[in-house]
Amino acid sequence: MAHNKEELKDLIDGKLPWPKVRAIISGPKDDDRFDKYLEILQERVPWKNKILLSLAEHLYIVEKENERIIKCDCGYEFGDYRVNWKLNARIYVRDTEEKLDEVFFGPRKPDPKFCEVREYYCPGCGIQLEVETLPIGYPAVFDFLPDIDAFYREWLGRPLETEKEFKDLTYELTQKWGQESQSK
Amino acid sequence: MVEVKKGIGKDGKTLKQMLEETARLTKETGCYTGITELKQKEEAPIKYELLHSRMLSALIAGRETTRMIAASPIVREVQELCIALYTPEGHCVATSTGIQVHIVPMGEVIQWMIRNGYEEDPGINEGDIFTCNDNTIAGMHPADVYDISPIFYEEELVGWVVTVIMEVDIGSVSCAPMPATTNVERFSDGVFICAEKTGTDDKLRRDFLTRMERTLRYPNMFILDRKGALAANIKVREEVKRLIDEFGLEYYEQTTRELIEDSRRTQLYRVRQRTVPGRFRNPIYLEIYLKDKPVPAYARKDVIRLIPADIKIKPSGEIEIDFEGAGDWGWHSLNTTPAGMYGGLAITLAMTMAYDGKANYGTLMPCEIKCPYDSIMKPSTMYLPTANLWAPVLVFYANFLESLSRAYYSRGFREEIILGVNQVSLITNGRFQKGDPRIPMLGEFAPGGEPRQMGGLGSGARGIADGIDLTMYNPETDSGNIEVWELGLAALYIGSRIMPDSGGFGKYRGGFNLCSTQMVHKAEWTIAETMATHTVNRILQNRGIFGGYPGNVFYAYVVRNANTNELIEQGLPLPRSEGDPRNPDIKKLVKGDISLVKAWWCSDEVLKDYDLIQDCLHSNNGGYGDPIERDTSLIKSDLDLGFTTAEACRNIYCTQASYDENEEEWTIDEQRTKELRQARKRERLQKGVPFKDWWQKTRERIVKNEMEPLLLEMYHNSMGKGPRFAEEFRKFWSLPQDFTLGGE
Repeated sequence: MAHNKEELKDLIDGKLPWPKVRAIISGPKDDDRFDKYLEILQERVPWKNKILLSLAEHLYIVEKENERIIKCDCGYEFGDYRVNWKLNARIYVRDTEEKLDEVFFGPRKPDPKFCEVREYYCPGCGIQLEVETLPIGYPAVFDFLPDIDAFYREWLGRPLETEKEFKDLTYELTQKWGQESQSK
Repeated sequence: MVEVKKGIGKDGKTLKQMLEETARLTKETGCYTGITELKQKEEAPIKYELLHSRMLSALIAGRETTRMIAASPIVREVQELCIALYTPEGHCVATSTGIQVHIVPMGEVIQWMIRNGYEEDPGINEGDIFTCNDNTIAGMHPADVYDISPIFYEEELVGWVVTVIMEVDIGSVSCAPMPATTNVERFSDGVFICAEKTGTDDKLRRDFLTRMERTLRYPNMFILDRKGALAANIKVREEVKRLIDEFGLEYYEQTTRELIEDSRRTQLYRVRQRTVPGRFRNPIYLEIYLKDKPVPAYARKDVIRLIPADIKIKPSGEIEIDFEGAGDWGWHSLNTTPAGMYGGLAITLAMTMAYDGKANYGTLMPCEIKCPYDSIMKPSTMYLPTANLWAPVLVFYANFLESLSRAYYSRGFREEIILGVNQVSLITNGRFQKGDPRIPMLGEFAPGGEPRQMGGLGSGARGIADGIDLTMYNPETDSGNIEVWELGLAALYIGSRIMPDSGGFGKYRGGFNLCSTQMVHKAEWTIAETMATHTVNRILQNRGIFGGYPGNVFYAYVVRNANTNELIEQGLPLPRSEGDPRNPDIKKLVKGDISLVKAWWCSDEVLKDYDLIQDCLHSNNGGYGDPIERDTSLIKSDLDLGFTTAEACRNIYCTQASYDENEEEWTIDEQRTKELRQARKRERLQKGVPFKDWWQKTRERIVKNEMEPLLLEMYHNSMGKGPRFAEEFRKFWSLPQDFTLGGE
């Protein structure tokens, strides 16, 4: 069952009346959803790069020349999609009682000796892109590394022109940072 | 010539032969029991659907029958039961609604019986009933009791029907069905019924019932539950026989197997249709604090266990979940089992992806869960308690929902996004005063306690709307009548209210949670403990998505020597809700010894009449999206209903609102709100630092082992459990290959 674009826009914006949402949830899924979804998102961003995948609120994996990068809708570019984008964000860590109490009132907060709340902001626009709550010392979580080539090739049946290896490249960046630290 | 005894399965085969043959054919073809074509479905689809619908109707009717017979509010109102139909090999064909987490372990119990030669001894006959709650065979916790009935047609075993019911008490050393902190070894779990033949000729054995009468605290409810389950099983069994009469045996046998293969294919299709392949990550942590608890010396220690989780959606549509790096098992009740993890996957998929009524064994076939042996996910001993093997299951699958949600988001199916929750509450254990006509009962639930709390938790946020208030993973559940609960409690409820701001903040917030207050009443004594199903105390699980915050940490207030009697006599207000968490009503209104307690607390003194317990059921349910993008009409609605506070409105949502006392409603200053939100973005850019700067500072702390000893031990432990976590941890922090935290 296909849904018209206007209906999908309202769905995306949380404006579709609940009876219609419920009907969409209960009904067969629309096979053209992904293409219509990308069309809607592409129309909404202020830049021209082709969106390959919508990764998160405000974040897109886009084609840029021969690369695939993560880009915020404000235009800020985070680099190769295979590197955890959080490493190129700004971070604010709630690691004291006072900082935690701003969000977790009174006894509702975790213990800052054990747990920290990390807020990741887009350096371009200041939007809060992700919040992590983790034991102190835990690496930044790479929430989702999509296998874009397999997706386009095997699921959508239209392979992308140039393929990229499905590989987590985050550690190449952290190793580089480590070498820089040692050489200082 | 020696006569070879015929098996009870198809064409005289034994069930063991059938099980082996099914496994072989499935392995050889990749399709369930070698079914490469769905012939019945393709040739006569209406007939195929009709058989399934009739089976489903029988199962749901069986479930309702049980509810009419049982006395327990857990069955009648909370609806913690489920009934499912199996192939002779123990593979689920169809399941009723309800606690579908059991469709996997119930089948595993059947297979265990087959592998252990039950066909020979004790024998499997028409009218037999087998009962099991031993989770080292398979199960979710001992209070969930399985009643298993074989279905014969013309002397051939053609299937099984199994009913699971959660009991109010299973005789464990710690009270109630969800034991609390003090279960540390198997023999504290309560009564074990180990796939025992408990009845013949559709009648429960008198000696079995006698044992239960003398072993449980609440035998009447247990026995009525068994009778309810038996009635349901007979109802389904007889309907299956009628179906075979009508459709033919060959058709029934072929189609029940096709239904499994059909569900396997549909699951692969659904994954490919709704998600995006790739790798997802989100670790979980289990906090275990037993150092100062009344447990044997060998268990008396605090540990935190890390469970890294690597989830892959493969290009084939298969799902793989790998827990390499999961920490050690221990003498506490939070160890789990692979069957438990598959059970969690079953209910998660049945509720969020395979919700067409056809979830069965086939739905799980394209999924693999890797639980490392000798870890908290798959202990190497059976002598551990299984009372809370639910704990890692529920914590993980709440996170799993978030990972699935990321895939739905990328594919455009935002209506499918929903985030998961944790579950903690207090359990009380008391005894009525002498002379009270009610049954003197040990073991019941605190306000909002499991399973009353099933209706007390808010879900995580959804992708197009706020989370659902006061709900749980079983959508049929409600909390039951308070008056019914009070029949078995030496306590009275004096209030149950929604707690403002109790869902994780976000563009869409988490659903709201319940604050429930109970006064000890007509008790000889009462003690209380936190339920150990979930362990969030110091570390919040990593919930919240796309900039939404996680929900809150659970806590409760306990007041001993409370002056509630005076308040009642003088007509003064009672603390019926929490109020301001920084200055709660209970502290303002009540005099007595007030304690704020969190997970892993147990009372060291008894509570007496008029003492109070107030359960603040925070479920760690996350929000979706940046809170400063929340629609102001939603904020106004929450303000008007008293569900959010002026502080959250101003400081979290950056929204300018004022209260109009004449109109008795809030108004939003949209222009000022825009300015506040812009200012917040600028403020973030000033206070946020480049990740690399933070990384360098944190790395120095790690190199120097500058963190709490419990965390050092947690990392050290997981770094010794397989290469992946250790290697990736070292690479992320750019550390030498031999580096370990907390090492010598």
